[in-house]
Amino acid sequence: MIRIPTRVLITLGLLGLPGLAVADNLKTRTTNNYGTPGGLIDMPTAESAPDGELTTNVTYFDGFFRATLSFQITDRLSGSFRYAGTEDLTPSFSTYYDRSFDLRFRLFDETDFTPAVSIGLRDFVGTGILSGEYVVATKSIGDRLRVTGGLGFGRLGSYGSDGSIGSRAPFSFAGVGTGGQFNIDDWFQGDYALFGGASYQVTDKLLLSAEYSSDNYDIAQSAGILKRSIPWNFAATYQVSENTSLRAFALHGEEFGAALTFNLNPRSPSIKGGTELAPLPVAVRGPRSAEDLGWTTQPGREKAITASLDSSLEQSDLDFEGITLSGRSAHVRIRNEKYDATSQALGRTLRSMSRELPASVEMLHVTLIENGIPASTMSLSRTDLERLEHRPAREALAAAQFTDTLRFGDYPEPLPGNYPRFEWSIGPYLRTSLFDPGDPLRGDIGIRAKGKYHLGSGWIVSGSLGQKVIGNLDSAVKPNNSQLPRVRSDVALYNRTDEPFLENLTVAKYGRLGPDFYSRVTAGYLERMYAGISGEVLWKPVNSRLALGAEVNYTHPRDFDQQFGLRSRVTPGGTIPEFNGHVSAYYDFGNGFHGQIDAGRYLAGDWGGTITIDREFANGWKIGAFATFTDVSASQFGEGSFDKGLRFTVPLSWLVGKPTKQKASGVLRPLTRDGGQRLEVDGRLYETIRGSHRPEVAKSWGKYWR
Amino acid sequence: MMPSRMLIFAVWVLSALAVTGCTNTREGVSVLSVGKTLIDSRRSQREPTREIPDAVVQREIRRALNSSDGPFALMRIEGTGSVAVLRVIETNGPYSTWSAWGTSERRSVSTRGGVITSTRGLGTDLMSSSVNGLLGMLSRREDGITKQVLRHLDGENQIEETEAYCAFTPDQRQAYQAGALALQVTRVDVFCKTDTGTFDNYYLVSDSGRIVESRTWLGEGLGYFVLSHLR
Repeated sequence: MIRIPTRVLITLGLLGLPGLAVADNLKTRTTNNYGTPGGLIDMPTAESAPDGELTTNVTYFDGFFRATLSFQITDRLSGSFRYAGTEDLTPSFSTYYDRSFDLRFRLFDETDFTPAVSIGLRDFVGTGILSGEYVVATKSIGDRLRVTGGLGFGRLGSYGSDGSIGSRAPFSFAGVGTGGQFNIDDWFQGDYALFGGASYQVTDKLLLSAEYSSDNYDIAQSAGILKRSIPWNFAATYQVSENTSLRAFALHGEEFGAALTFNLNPRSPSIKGGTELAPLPVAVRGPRSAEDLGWTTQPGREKAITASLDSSLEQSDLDFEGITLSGRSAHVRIRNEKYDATSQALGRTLRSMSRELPASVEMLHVTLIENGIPASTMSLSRTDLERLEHRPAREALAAAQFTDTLRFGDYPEPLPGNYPRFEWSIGPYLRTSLFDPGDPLRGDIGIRAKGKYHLGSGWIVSGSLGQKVIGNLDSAVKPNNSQLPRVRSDVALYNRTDEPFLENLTVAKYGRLGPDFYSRVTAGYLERMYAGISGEVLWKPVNSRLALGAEVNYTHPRDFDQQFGLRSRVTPGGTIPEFNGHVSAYYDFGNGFHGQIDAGRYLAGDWGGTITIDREFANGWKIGAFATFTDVSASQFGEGSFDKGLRFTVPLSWLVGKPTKQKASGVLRPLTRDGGQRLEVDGRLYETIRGSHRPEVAKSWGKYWR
Repeated sequence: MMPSRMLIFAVWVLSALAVTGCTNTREGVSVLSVGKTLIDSRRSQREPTREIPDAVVQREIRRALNSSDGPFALMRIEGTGSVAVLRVIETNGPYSTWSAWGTSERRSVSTRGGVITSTRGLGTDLMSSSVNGLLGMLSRREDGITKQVLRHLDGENQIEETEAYCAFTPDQRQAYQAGALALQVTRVDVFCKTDTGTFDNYYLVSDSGRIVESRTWLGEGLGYFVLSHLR
């Protein structure tokens, strides 16, 4: 037992040390039956998930199926994407499938005496079968009880209406049309009703909920597939493991159902800081040793230094490409194919330099090479490196300088042996087709071989060959009724091949047009549907969060078998034009959000723009949404009205707890039509060089000394 | 309908993530290594702490001390039961970096004035610490309070600082014997409080002010480390 003198205890008390309790603004990891954060059943609450939380919820009760992905976009704002299926809702379909988006914003935080208040839109784009808006307040009473009351419109105002504001177009299957419209005129209009409920945390694992529901399930009741005896719903939610919960619920005294929720937070990797082995420590020079320049006159010394630095960098899995060495400075060029946190590659390179370079070398420069071109140079004095090794990481960031490599007159040439270089990989691939009403989940699994031949100075020949092994993508028989040139909607025809297919085969040349300017020309079989030539220029200063780019493509559609042939540009919906291209602006807001605007001509010849917003986590996770608006009218576009979707990037390092630049990316589109479609070409400039520039390196600077 | 759909979805997620089978690049992380990481982390949660017999430890200490005249220390990780004899591999001003003696395993800890200030390669590493106040307080072996700062990487690789307010209480004098050291020391108990919890460290300080043994808490993931100097 440790004795602590009373004097010390009193002082600790006087310091006003923070205790354990911190206001959490009604955080919850539970979701309701619509998959949005909250402890009730069908009704919303003013609770929020922890910042960045991703939840997947699957709810099922007799004939009703909902799968919802929710994301806590900021501390206050959350968004959801839902795919719902209802059996026998309408005679037209055996199961009626519907996609919907929700948004919710916490207006006021909870205080000691006032509740948290949120405002929300349910199913606010699209056909509106679930549409409802609400204002809701939740207050915690003690640690375990949370009480909620709210006012709902639309479906949430359909039972026990307390009044009405304005008018609201009723939902009808006939009015579904193209969907995808924002029904702004209907928001917070029509009948409204009060709803409410309470949830009680019985134990750490068990949550009980009860609610009074203002949703009358009008359409389901009139279709005779659901009865509503009482307005009350009840649920018990059990936390099976840290990230999984299971719920059983009773609806309206008639239906029983179950729900499963998976939680995941991009901010919680498998192992914080990673499990990779220790870096080499900085070797500190002896006093006055820096004055000795004798080594510069020793024959063969430079060659020996180059060799030892090469093997030291090899220990850290870094590729040493070249060096220029003088009495007082050294400039090294490296390729980092391992560390997703660029700062870690830089930190390890500099420490190797401190161990291998003669003591007189004071200025250290490291150039990062991407696709054969210099992407940036970081400089640090050796004295600072020695002085800051055991200091907080931010001090080393303040001492580091980032410069465009072209501003150095004599950056190092590649050493022999680096080029030409061949890289290959073989692995499985998976291709999916989601939300087809015939079968909402289809996929192909196959094997894919990739090769890349680096010829030097930015010349790269690369190709990817695939072979389907098993899958059912070819069984899609959705009739194509597109009124536009069929630039993407013929995907089913591309999925039919059982032969080996060439995903791409290109020759690319990356270059530097001058300081801050980057260029790319790619020619060949650019992607599975198009061959042609793609040219791009990017302006991006190394310390800037803004980048501007322009891209022009000449494209020709490829044969459906994806071998070497091309097919006619003429399609039933019109002729596929020869040229497309965009000007783009990229901006890193610096607060975890990244924006991109592209404007130009799309594949089908339509003109317009795409806006993309991503929440970017410093560990590499990205979750974003995009929407494209072009001069194609909603009726011409067809179902969905305009192109939109969600996109994800998951860094593999997050999962395995070791550095790797490998990541899994995906795009989730409710529908793919022909309007607003862009060419998919590999190795666009912005993503190629961005990771080497200061704003991106600084984000994960904590790994510099790791 | 549900179970098969769920299964397909799970496979979809796994396959989408497990990107490469094999490759000649440094990027490659294979499907197997993803699985292995998950299994390892499960296993490490279940594994009880190991007990290494004292006789084995003493024999290693003797072998190390006989191998060179340099400084050696014994490190015990309380959470895992791991024990290692450490030697100094590099120094930088008042800091020394230590690594396991007799292996080339690249895991290290750094110390200042005999107190661990950082770790590398152990997972959830302690990146750096501010221990100025602590060292001053120990050299005087007085009652008092000082602040200590521990820095770790959070889930987004940002430096996360844990500020601890620590109360120092010199305790009784005792004999210290480890390796080639045998001397009288004063035990100083240190009770620290952070935003979210508390921890109990102790230090054994010789009459000349040298810290010959310390038990220090290095963060949530690492737990308590005991470092005993052997020479």
